[in-house]
Amino acid sequence: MPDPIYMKIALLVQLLLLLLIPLEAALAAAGKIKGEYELRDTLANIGVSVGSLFFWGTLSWLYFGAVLYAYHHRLYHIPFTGWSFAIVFVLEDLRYYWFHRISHRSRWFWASHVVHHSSQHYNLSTNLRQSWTSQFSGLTLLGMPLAYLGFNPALVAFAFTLNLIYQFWIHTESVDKMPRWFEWLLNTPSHHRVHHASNPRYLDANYAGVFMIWDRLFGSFVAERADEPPRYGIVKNLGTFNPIRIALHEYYAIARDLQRSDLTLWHRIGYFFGPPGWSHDGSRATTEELRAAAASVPA
Amino acid sequence: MNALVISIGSNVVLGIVLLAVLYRRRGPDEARLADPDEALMHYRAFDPAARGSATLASDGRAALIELDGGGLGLVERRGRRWAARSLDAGELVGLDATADGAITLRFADFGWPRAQLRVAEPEVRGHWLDRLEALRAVAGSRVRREVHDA
Repeated sequence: MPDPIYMKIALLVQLLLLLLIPLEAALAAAGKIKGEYELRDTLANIGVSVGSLFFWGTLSWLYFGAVLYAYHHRLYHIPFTGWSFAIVFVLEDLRYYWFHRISHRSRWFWASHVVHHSSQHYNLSTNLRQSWTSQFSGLTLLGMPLAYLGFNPALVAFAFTLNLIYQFWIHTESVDKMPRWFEWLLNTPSHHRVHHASNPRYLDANYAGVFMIWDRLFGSFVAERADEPPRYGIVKNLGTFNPIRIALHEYYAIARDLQRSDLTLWHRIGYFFGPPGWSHDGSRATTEELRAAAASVPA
Repeated sequence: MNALVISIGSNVVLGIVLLAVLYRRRGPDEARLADPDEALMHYRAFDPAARGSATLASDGRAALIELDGGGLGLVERRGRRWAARSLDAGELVGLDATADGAITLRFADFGWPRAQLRVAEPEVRGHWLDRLEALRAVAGSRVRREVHDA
């Protein structure tokens, strides 16, 4: 049976995008563009991507099963047209914004998403460093409402794929700023550098996938400042390049916290679903506390 | 099926090309901590309000931090970046010290399992081993201290 045309298109796009990684590495190494690759970091990215693809391939039926179930019980029948695709693309981007925001603000979901933020480098190969556990973190359920409304799951999946493809090019230091209108409307390398930075000023900002308007609307937009270059990574960076440790370290940390015998039920819920950095005794710092601490330090 | 084969094959080829580029272009990492202030600056990326003093490792690629509040911290070169962490009682599960001044710390931290640094001056090393052993007492961790010449 011949491959369907959309598979061929997806393959071509994927190949073109992946070609950009060695190209960026070579140009950055030659000093032609801004950027830095490190062998061990990139090897870790590739290792994590192998695991991510494996788990996506074996567990994606959980996502598709949930979406198909919702579609089976849909409220309306929305036809497959250009307009319905435009609407679903925007709504899917809104879904992505909230999926992404929750992934940063609740530790259980952060444990899955932190993988993508764990590199202290920022280049196109960072795209490869993706979660192993996104299929069973529970947030895939956010994919159900659009199907329940009546949008065809294939259309929703296509919109999601385009969203992720768009996000590929913004993982780079080689592009400074886009034209002002572009920076206002769309996600750009500058906005996404802020998102990957661990400077207190930049923490938990710019969750957008494609349209920057969601961050502007929901108060999470932070502009990149020339006087404060992004420091990539997470607040407590990792001391390893081992892909298994990178992919699972936060789950281990949650399990260790929950093992303590002096916790109440509410403490345990806090360690599980509270914001990253939350602790029952105040011994750690959340984003808000880190920002306050940084602001209290004289320049 | 064809698409899958082409996809996997091209990914492997591109991965090899990328790694070959990086391997050929890699150079030595010359970064060293210039002084304790620089070590503290890197530590503040982890704890913005941190104040204290730093002891540099002999090769300048790590530092132990003594915070004003009594806490301890570590700055270590990881690849081509600096990384920092606090040294908490519950997380230090192993401490090895050898005659040549090397100190190996093992953590109950899946994302940062161990750290290694060398403190050549016996007096300074002894001071640090005392502080780190105190953490061990809380954690009930294993300590192997072959030489303590403070």
